[in-house]
Amino acid sequence: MTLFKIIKPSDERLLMNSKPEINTMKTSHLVKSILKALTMSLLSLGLVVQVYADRLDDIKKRGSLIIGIAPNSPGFSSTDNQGNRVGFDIDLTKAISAAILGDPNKTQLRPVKGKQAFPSLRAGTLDVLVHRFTWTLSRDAGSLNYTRVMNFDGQGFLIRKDLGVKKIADLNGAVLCVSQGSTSEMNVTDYFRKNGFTFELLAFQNNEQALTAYGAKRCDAMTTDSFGLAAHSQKLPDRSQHMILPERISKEPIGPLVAHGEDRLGDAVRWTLNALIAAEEMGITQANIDSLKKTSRNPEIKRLLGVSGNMGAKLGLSKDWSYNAIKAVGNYGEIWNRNLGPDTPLGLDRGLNALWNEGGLMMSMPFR
Amino acid sequence: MSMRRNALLTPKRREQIPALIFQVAIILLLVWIGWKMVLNAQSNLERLGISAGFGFLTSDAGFDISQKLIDFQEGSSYLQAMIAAYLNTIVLALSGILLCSVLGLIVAFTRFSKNPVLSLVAELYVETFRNIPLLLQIFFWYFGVIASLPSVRNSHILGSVVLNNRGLFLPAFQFTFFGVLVSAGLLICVVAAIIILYRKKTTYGRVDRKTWIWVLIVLSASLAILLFGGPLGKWELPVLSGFTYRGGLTIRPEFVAMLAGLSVYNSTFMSEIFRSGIISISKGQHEAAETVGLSGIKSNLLIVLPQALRVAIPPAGGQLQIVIKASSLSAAIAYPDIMSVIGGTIITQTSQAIECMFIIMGLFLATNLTLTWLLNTYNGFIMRRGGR
Repeated sequence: MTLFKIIKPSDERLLMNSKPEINTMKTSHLVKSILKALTMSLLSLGLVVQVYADRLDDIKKRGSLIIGIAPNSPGFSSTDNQGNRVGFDIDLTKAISAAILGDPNKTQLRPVKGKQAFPSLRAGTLDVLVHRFTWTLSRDAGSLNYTRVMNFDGQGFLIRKDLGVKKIADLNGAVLCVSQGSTSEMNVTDYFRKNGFTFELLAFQNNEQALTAYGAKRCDAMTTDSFGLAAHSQKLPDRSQHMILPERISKEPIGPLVAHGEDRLGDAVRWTLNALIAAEEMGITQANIDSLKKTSRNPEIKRLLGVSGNMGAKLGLSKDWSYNAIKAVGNYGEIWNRNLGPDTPLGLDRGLNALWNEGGLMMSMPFR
Repeated sequence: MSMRRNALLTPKRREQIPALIFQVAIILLLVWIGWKMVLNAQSNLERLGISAGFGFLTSDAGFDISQKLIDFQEGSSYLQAMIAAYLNTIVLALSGILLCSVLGLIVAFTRFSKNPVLSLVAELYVETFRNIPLLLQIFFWYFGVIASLPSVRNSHILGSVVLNNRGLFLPAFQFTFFGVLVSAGLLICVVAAIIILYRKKTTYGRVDRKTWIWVLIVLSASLAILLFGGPLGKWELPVLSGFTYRGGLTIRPEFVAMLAGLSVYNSTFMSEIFRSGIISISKGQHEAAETVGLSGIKSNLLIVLPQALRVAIPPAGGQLQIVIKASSLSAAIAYPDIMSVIGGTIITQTSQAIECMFIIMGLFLATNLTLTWLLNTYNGFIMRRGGR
């Protein structure tokens, strides 16, 4: 602002054709103010330069975790009647918070939409992203790091039952609603072209709008990850008139992410998630964890719960990190049943997400 | 005051020196900040492992676009996707500009109507649509349009025209190559005829017989080519195939909703601009037109409007640029414009955010500057004709 005040009077004097000696005085004044402005801008540029520290230490010092979540995906991340965030992803955030900070509720949950999520994680405004993003090479090799797969999913098709479509091949020539820039958009294009089908693709900004257009019959089918379809279709008023075709056209492994280079935080998150799965493998539940911790003679359980060994210290966490996580939300199976299982509106089958020794793909890496 | 001075350093120039130093310093500072920003972005991109550059433009675009004016299919590149998207933006922007100007003009004159109901309706129209956010209006039109139209199986059918919630399907004329040549020739002939008539007009607005004969010869020659030259092409009709109609010309609900949103919203501002132009014309002009026996509509069109336009065109230009810029709201309802295709799909697929944003900004800037140039030319033209 001062800069303008200086130039203005001198302009007026130009008009009045005033005396030169006042000008010389003004000139030195001016040089000073220019120098001042230059130093100020140099200083402010210096302040912009970021200071990098280890993110895990930052989180512990801060005492809270900033986690990006899906804005509205019933069963995974949505708000219940009391206004609390609930869902599969939310339980994972609680487990991570309990493991790192000893308290499941020290999280600041930030609902982020597709396009903003990755840049926010990159820029460091989010610590962890517990969202619905598929693990792909470009994302992992880029500026993000996936920790581990928590859902094995595939891309499916939501259709109206009265359409008379029984399999994806019947959708030849259909109009499809999809959300923009998703892997779904590319998968469906690949699949339909590969099979020589004609189709028309309507790419909406997000799944909410795609679903609204689908609900208004603008398109014959909506396509995205089948869990996403199960979640979003809960918002349709006539849900029973719709169905998800059994076929899947892609592999969609989904799990939490951290920024590239945050190895210690990545390890902490990865092993917390492993602990949830290991707990199911070993039969540890929210209910029996306290008695098992006291009485169990199984060396694996003792290592996992921090009774013996120093697993926590290796990760830079407390001794009872995994106990806290499991105590907070239960094992993987309990989390699944609470949010997605047969007794919930989504009623999803475990399918590929069953434990490895029960015909699924879920396997905890060994706690050794 | 009589002082001897160097010719280069007149008192006036000497007084300008501080200002000059200051300006140079500001420019240097700006250049330096800009340079820092570029360096900073470069090092950050390197750190994040994002390769910069426009090499991705030639790789395969693994997605499809619903509305395309050019051939876009399997194996087409990102560049072709961008061109297809840009054409969609242009079609939407041009139709929006035309429709909102016409609507604006009609509403402006309606507000001056002597019928109080009519002028009240026009005022309500302006106040309602001007004060609701454009994005909401677009959603309203889109979901309103889809919801109120029948599904494909219950389409409204009138001859070869089909209307349902997938769009308005019209028969389209497919030109052969010969057809294109002949039609272009015809167009040239007609334009030539009009120019001849305009040029040869005498002071009394009459055209002499010799010119008329020339014009008739040109027109009948072209008519003869049209009749006996062979087929120009054939009509392609929309046919129901599977889930939807194909063939012919399809006007999709996304386009209709965007066009309706853009033109209704902006027509309210345009009508106010035209109204201010009309108010600036003195009442005497109107009365003078009446005394020479011109009807209300004629005096409006021939006397008031040409003068009002001179006042209205500069601000109207600004409003029309807003129409072009607002077309970028398309992504919300899946109309594949540049913002939607480049800023939505291509950015997330390629991670080339900076390049893509530069391309989008460049395209909007070029489009708007072209519009400004056209309007300035037109403005200059009517100023000269006005003789003021």
